[in-house]
Amino acid sequence: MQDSPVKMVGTLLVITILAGAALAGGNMATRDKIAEARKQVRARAVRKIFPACRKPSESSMKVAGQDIWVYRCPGGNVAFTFSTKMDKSISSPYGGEIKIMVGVGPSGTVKGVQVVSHSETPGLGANITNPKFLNQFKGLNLKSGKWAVKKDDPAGLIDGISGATISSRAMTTMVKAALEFFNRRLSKGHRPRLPGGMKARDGRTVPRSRAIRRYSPPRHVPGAKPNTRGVMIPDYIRRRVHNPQIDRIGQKAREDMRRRMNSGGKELPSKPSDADLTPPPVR
Amino acid sequence: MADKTSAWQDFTKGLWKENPALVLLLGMCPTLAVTTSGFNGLGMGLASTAVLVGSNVIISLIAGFIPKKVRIPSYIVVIATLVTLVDMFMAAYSPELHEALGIFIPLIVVNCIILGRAEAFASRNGVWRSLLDGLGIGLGFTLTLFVLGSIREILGNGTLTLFQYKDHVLRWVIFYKEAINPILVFILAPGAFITLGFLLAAKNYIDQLRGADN
Repeated sequence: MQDSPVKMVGTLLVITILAGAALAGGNMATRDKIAEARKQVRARAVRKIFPACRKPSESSMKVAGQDIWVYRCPGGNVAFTFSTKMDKSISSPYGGEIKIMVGVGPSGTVKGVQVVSHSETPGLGANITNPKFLNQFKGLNLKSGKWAVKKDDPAGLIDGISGATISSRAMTTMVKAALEFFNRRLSKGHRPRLPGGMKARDGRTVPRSRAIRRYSPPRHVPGAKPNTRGVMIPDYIRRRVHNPQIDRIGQKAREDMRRRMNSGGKELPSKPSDADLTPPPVR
Repeated sequence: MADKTSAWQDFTKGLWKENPALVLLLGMCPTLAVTTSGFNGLGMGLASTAVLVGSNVIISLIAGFIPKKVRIPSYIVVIATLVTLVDMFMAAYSPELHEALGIFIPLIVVNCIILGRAEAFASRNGVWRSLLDGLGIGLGFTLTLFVLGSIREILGNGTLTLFQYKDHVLRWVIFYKEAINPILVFILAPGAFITLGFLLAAKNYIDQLRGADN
């Protein structure tokens, strides 16, 4: 018997509508749960990298259309998510996308890497989740040496997984890009750019033009002077980069002052000790 | 109606006589690609079995209403929906399992065993028999994948993994890599073809022996 085209189209229509409804229902029923589960996966990865960090602060930022989740721990440790699709310098993985959680210490050294999700070949590329492979990243920073897989470059830092050079390469370039991102956007050193042409303690000089574009300071700050382009830059930014050691000296001076006030001006200002005056380590 | 067979036979035929991977030679893509360890074979097999049973049941129920010419697209829509739902619910309620098996799930849609059984069996038989057929074929598939994966893992890596999720691993070390070099090629793609070839030969040899007895 020949089926009429109307019946065929109708049947397909009904089936696809039912399938669509089932999927929509399934999505609605599971959406929140999946988001919650993902959050727990991230939290677990952070705990694995920084076991001592019980309650990290969570925030997110958008990069290349994707969310980067940032977890800050007391003491300056930062863990954040990164993916192979976030930077052009990252070599493509074998399948889909790899998402990782990178833990970085305040000095820009990798403290640990965990794979959050991936779709590499089971048994081969999937070995990127192996602690033996991941632990190689611990203690590395951008100046540690050549960020490459040993198979590509004998001087490379990372021993790739046999049979999965593509996945290893993707991981290596991704962790490197993540560190660069950390230095650019997340590190403690990331503060308003120095006013143009000034030399910072760590020796970097910021071209005048870029500094002005990046930084527009409040105009009401006392001691602010206009720079060459008429932008007001407060004195405290012209003078120094934020530095805990200097802050400590300031703290001491304030306490000193309070003591002298209480004593009715009889006590003399104390001399700063040698420890206070030794220059801070260059970071 | 297919020829008269008992419900028990519907179930057992998938294990040996109509073993999907060894006799029907269906679903070769997952068979060859994911069987790099015993656990991977087991995981892929069980996930496929779940979808196969579900699709067999649904298709045996709706087959009567579907015009012949549009049956294939209809079945594909049903299977794809089922796989996506399984994927979503697994991600929501068992993230651990989803992470362990997650990469296999989308592969199930393209497994021709499922479409094959829908077309060859479920559309012509009742719900109960289709369910048994799905279960039998699925377990036969699981068994073959597990054996294939185990052989490849033992020869290619010196270990046998039954379960693996993050730090929870059930794995035996058969021999130490430091003492004996494993044959890496068995973990790689060519090893899958070689092992499958030997399994097919072994299966046919056993059938021949049994045939000679009769």
